[in-house]
Amino acid sequence: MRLALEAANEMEQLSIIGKYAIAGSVAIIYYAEPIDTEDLDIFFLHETKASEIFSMQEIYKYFSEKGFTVSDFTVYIDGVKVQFVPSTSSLSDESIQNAREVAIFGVKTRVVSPEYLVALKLRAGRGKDYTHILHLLGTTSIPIDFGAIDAILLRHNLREKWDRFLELTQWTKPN
Amino acid sequence: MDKTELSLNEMFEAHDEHRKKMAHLPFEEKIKILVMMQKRAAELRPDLNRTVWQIDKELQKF
Repeated sequence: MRLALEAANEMEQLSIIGKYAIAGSVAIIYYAEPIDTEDLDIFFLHETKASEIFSMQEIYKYFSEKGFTVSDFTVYIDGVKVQFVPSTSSLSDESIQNAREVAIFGVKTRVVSPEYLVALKLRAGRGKDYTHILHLLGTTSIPIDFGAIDAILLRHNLREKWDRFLELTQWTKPN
Repeated sequence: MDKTELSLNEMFEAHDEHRKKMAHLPFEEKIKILVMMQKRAAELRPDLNRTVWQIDKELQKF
């Protein structure tokens, strides 16, 4: 994992990718009880407009020069399955911009905050995403800022989805 | 009451407490647990070709 994070840092320094942050299940593991996953998801900023096709060519080139194989946004780096995911919305842009600076495996990196993880999972909206939200809210090791979640949901038109989530799961804020 | 006789509520609370303790482990320790889960899942369902992160050496340092 150290090598994967060092590669992400180097690609950011070389401007192959923009600012990046760990997202998905590994980000949830950072804050909560471990859950099963196969992928280390790395979200990154870029300058490609929504109407244009994003090219992974520079990323492919970077890894092929290092002897790794990339396909469909996935690369195996030192035994870890890593997915480099270009940001696809203003919500994921914000989640990267506001990611927490951390050090893991001795490497400085960033992890999407729990408040943005809730919003991203809510937007994805699959059954497992709802499970992950419950898992994060239920076992988080740090306090969650529900005011910040409200503001994010409002800004990104996710209030209705949140109400639906609450209705389906019967989840209530802890006292 | 000894530890083999817990009410369902006590069991639930103990389980909940355990989950919260796991959440407070260092990240690297949590990744060790994840890799154990990946290995177990791959053993149980070899037909699914589950990915197991090959980072045992790296994890030994933590």
